[in-house]
Amino acid sequence: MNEKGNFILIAIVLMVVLVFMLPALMYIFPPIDIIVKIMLIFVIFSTVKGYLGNGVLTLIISGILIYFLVIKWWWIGATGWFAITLATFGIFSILTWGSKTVMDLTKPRP
Amino acid sequence: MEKPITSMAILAFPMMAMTNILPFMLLIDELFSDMTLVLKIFVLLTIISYVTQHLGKGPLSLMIIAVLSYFIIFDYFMIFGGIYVLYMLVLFGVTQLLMDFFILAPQAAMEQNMAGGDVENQPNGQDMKERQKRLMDMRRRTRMV
Repeated sequence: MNEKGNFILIAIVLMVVLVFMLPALMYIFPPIDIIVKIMLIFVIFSTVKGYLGNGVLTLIISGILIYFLVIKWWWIGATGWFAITLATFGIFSILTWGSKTVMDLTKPRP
Repeated sequence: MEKPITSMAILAFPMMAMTNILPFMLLIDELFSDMTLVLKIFVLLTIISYVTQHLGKGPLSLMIIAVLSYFIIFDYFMIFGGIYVLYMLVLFGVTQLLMDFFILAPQAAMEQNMAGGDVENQPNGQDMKERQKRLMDMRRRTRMV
């Protein structure tokens, strides 16, 4: 594999590992699981409230989304939320830049 | 002596494969259908928010929401679902990531080409230190410092 492909692959693997650290931590430490689930419920409710305002429909749609994203597929909900948060703060850019500049993972080792 | 292959042995491998793969396939199918529902709910929220923002809450906005929802969520979801996911990715700054790749990846390739792909030829911290020292000596000799 050439250098360009190698670098992109390393950066993507680092991102995936970072994003999947949250569900792994949630699985290992139950307190983190509870905290993240409460935060997810708040995020979902406030997102739906931002779209629809206060009302019964907000509660119903929030309930459906909370069931799917917090209770049933909690690891997808947590991973998605964590990925969105990291992308919003620009952490992935730092990771990409760092994997090339600071860690220099693309440099061939002797 | 070779063992006779019975019909049970022939069936064993596909059966084992089926019993291992089937639950996984069912899980993927369930996951896919649930996530499609979640995506449809988010698309509906976006439509409602967009229409009420422009027309307020009234019978006309309800009619337009119904028409748009019919086309976008039920009729052509395969197209609009993809567009919505792409829109969300752009909104959350994935393009920034692509730009980072496009800027840094050629740089990495160029650096390696310039160094001939050899790790000994690439400058390190010690080289930089020596270069700085030489520069300072030269400045001292020319009485620039």
